[in-house]
Amino acid sequence: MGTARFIIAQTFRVYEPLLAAAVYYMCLTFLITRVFRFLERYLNKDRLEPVQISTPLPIEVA
Amino acid sequence: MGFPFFIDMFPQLLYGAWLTIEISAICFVLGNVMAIGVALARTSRNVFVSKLAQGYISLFRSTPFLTQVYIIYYGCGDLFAHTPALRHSFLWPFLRDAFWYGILALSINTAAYSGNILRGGLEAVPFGEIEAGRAFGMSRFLIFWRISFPRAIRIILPTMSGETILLMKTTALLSTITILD
Repeated sequence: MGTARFIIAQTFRVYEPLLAAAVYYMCLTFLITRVFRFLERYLNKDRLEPVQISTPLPIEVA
Repeated sequence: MGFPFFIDMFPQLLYGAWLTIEISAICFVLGNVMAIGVALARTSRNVFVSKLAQGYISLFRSTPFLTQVYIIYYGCGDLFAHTPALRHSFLWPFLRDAFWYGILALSINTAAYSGNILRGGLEAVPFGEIEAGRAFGMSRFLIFWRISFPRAIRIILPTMSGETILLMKTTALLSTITILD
């Protein structure tokens, strides 16, 4: 953000540096979200949906 | 306006982004280590310690972060600069740099917020599990380390994700104290 303001001050272009900075912050947020999603899955395995285990068909009684 | 301009400022902004990552990572570690202490103090049975932690949390949550940064950077910075003994000590390279004041301010702030979140997690641990630990004859430290703490971390993970994103975005405020992030 400081760099964006520096570029604005030097070039008198307001929108481009701010837009670029916004994109950078979005990328970083995306990364953090991903890391925490992984951690949640990894540490809370007991709370995940149970895996469907195929059971043998009931034996037909003749 | 134009695409070449974006290419031109790419390396500069990349350097800023790297500084943002650096500050966030350091403050995440420092802040959360301090948060463990805050949360433990807050859940302490000793009323004095508990009230002290509560005061710390409410102090740093009820003042704007910008104010805290200015107080720490301009306040302490000015105080240290007028102390000749500090100016010539080995600590001066650290005390001269705005970077470390930013780290300090952000860590203290994060410790207050995360400490309160972690306290919520510690109190949400089912009492039966702690009782089970006691039945095994675990000491209080062992109960904390093996039962409450891992359990609390799992409980607070979704909240911590939001908190970490806020921490990363708060580093933008440090640009006001000459950190070009």
